[in-house]
Amino acid sequence: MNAHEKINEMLAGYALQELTDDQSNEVKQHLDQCPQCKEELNRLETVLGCAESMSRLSADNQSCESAKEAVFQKAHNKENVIQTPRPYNSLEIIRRTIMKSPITKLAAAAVIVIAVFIAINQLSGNGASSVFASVVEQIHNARTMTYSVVTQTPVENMPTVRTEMAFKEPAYMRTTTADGFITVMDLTQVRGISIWPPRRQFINFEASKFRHDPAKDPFMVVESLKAIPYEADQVLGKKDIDGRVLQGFRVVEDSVVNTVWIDPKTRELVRVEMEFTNAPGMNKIMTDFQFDVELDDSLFSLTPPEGYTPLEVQADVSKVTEQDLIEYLRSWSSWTKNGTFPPILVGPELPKIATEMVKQGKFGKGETTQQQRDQDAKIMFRGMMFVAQLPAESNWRYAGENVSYGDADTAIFWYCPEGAKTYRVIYGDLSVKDVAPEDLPK
Amino acid sequence: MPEISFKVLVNDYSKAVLNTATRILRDSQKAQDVHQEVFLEILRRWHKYNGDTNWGAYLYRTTVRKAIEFAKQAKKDPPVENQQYTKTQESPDEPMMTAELQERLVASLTQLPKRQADVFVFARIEGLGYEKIAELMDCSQETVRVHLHRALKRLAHELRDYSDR
Repeated sequence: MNAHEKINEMLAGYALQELTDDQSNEVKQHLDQCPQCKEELNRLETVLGCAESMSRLSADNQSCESAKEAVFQKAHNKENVIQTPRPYNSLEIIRRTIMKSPITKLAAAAVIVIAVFIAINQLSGNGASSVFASVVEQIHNARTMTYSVVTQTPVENMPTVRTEMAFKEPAYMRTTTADGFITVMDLTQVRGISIWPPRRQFINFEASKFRHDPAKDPFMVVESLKAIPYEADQVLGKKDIDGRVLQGFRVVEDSVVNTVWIDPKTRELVRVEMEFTNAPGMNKIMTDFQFDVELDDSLFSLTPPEGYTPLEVQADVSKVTEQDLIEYLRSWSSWTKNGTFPPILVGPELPKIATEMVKQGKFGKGETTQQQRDQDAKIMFRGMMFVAQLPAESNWRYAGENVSYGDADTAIFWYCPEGAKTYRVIYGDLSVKDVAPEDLPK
Repeated sequence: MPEISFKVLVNDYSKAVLNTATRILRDSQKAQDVHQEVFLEILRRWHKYNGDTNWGAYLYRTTVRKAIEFAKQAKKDPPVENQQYTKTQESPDEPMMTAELQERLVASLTQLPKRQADVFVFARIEGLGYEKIAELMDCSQETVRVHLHRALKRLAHELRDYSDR
């Protein structure tokens, strides 16, 4: 990490006034000569200033009295108490992503993470059980956690996969697949490393690249786990599983049927089973939960083992280029009836948006072969990977919503390549030009 | 069953719940909706609570989470001009913080991981210290710090257009 990167990492602490005097002075000196960091600090301070302005708001007494009166009135007539709808759940989008998006078929590693993410989500729900609540309390209080996940899907090229997960506070995560592929993420440093012992190879990566995509952020698994309420949906009977009498809890959420098994004597979480009614053959089983076990810091080291060499990443995923984005845009416009580009380029909401567009009859594509669908998914995935890999400093923008293919006058995407002084601008006819920052669309 | 009556609970904590919801939603009616949902949800589960419930912490967590969920839902609805909240301080010298910027900040908050969003609200909108937040969220102060830093950086990135103006 060079001096600039070091100071950049300290900027949030500086803006929050958490640094020592020496650290503050170091930052100040750097700011005098680094416009980039100065700009970043300005952004941080804008957010803090805005939050501070909100902190000064308060409700007036009249609102308070009328709010209380409304609650008492509703409480008095319980028939009027309306069931609170389930809060909008971002995990639901991710569940849909895995169920519907062809992209996930290509991102096997990400799918595994999503699967775990979903598995944990299934623990949450409504209902009552002191046993269930005690398990949840254990999860809430855990400083370390380990567990195994077995995923079976009917998806081609996705055989049964077993992954071992280990988490340690404040933000360390280690995943190990059955074929020995190990990934460690240290979000206190926003960095990670993947290690492949069979080939004695490794690859370092910046965890920040995953932070805008919940599906790729394993830390969110734990965040989700820690957010489980002290409730379950339905209490089932007892059952003998592997020689232990376990108490079951069932949670049905849309098309997902979950069964959580807890040992009522020891109050241990033993097993979670999931079935997907609209995806026969797909199921997940989480077992071997352990909490507060001793996890040595070396397990979360970002230093590659001695003798390991950097891994050559498969070109299919890593060497994506601007042309991949263009092909993604071209493909999408060919799928829609009026030749328009996607409303957004990336993000977990994309499958949902696409589903809505299908319902509205906006896609003109008829029956396609599996081979064509796989090819389309590959193009889309690579295009999205290009955008996902652009750093924040590239200042990329997408403005293709409602623009149709062929519109040569309308810029639909632009970004600044690393080290460049001009931006690359893609227009509606998918031509590309180099444009000075001052000439960019407003 | 709780040791206090539901009526006492509402009387004691209404102002705090409403203030928190108002700061996040900046809309009196929506804040009252959150207030109502928070308390009616408690009422529905009243028999499940016991005398150990820390109502202050419980209501704080529930209100922040529910207000953020409301904000997320409100993104789909047209804006309502109904701001019957009061500013406790006015300073002519303070930077102009437009409603639009606040709107964007809250919209970005709804996109953050829940614990990041909650920590940001507790720390920067509710003004709580790390120790108190760690107690509320049942985690270490270091975890709070990591969440806050991540939230702040992400929000700064999302709102970069405003600071660059």
